[in-house]
Amino acid sequence: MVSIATMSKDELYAWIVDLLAEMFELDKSKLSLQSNLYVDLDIDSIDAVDLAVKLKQMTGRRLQPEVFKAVRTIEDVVNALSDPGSEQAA
Amino acid sequence: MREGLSRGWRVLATGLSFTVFGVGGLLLRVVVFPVLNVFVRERRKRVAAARGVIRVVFRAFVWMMQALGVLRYEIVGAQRLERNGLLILANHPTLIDAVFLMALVKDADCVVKGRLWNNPFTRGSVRAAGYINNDAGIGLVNDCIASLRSGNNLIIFPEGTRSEHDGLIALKRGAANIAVRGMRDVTPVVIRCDPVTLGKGEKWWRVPPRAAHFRIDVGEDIPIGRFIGDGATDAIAARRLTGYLQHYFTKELNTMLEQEVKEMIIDVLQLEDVRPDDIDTDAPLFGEGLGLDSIDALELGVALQKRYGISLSAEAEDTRRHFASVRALASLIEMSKSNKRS
Repeated sequence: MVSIATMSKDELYAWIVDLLAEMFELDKSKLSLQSNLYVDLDIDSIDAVDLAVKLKQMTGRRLQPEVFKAVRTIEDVVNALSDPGSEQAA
Repeated sequence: MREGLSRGWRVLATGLSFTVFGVGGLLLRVVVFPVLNVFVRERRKRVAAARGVIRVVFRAFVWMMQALGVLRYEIVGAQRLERNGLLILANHPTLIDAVFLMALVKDADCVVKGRLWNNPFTRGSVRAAGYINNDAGIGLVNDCIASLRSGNNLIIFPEGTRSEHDGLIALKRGAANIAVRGMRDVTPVVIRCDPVTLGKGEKWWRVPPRAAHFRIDVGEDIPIGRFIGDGATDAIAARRLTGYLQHYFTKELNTMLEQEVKEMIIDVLQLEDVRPDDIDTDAPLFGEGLGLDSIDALELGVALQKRYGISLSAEAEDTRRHFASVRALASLIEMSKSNKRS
């Protein structure tokens, strides 16, 4: 399990970029904080669910569906993961 | 004069076909399916019966359209559909592709656009037959896999809507995800309609200059095995399969067009001893290859104008290039299609 609580935002960003690149065969050099998952990275709704499941498996954190639905850019993912309020109450 | 008459008749016959489709849909909804509901209590059997009814009705409908002279069709490889649990993926040039496929395939389940759930003419049928709603969201992939596992043949148009006019195939990844996650081979069906009719955004009364000719080609299964494994995630496997299918449909449609060009050449020039397969797609048409002369070129030019609305000027340097081979002619037709519409 990856402990994201101790990561800075920069570290989180680097970790997520690695994860996205691996999951969806993306070119890391083309990714930025502003990359839109759906428009720029050609991620569809099925991929998004895969991503949410993967994040849950790797970090142990389950993002609230409404938080995840609002995610558009990689920066949004970073913010959602670093904001404790976005986690679903157990 | 005769062409004008034939066109007028086909406008009428097309209108009649739409009317029959609408009235038929309403009758199914208010008479047939309610009766079915009374006599068949078990849901599973009721759905199967409704699908059977739809298949018979669609067969009759296709037969009627052919009898009216609205369309002609040929089907290659239909025996490949005589199985169960098939994931059938087809391209979607016209409004009637689904009618053809549902008429051909037994135990057919289908992913249907959400809009048809509320259309007064189709809602009765799609609901009674329990088809899968495209708007179902995330559950869609699992619903489709479950349908395949229960032995249904699942028909999907992976473009998600009718093809764009330029003839380019752009697939969404949902269908590939079903194949990957459900570990199903893909049974591809390539549909070509010439001349194009009832395409996206086309008005039904704009009937084509000749009766539409459908070619429906059921291909060999595409084994899923080569896309999964070697550590690829489902998401990556689905991307690979989608890319492969995109290439497959584009290539097959091209081959069909080349075949059509060969048939046109034989037909126009009355080459009685030549079969389409005898003509090499890349061989020169004039001189050494097929041995055509300048009179033949004129006749072909007229035929291109008539069939595809392409006018070539006799002097243009391009014209020589376009007549170089069957392949060159086919790409000219393909190009003119996208130019005309855009």
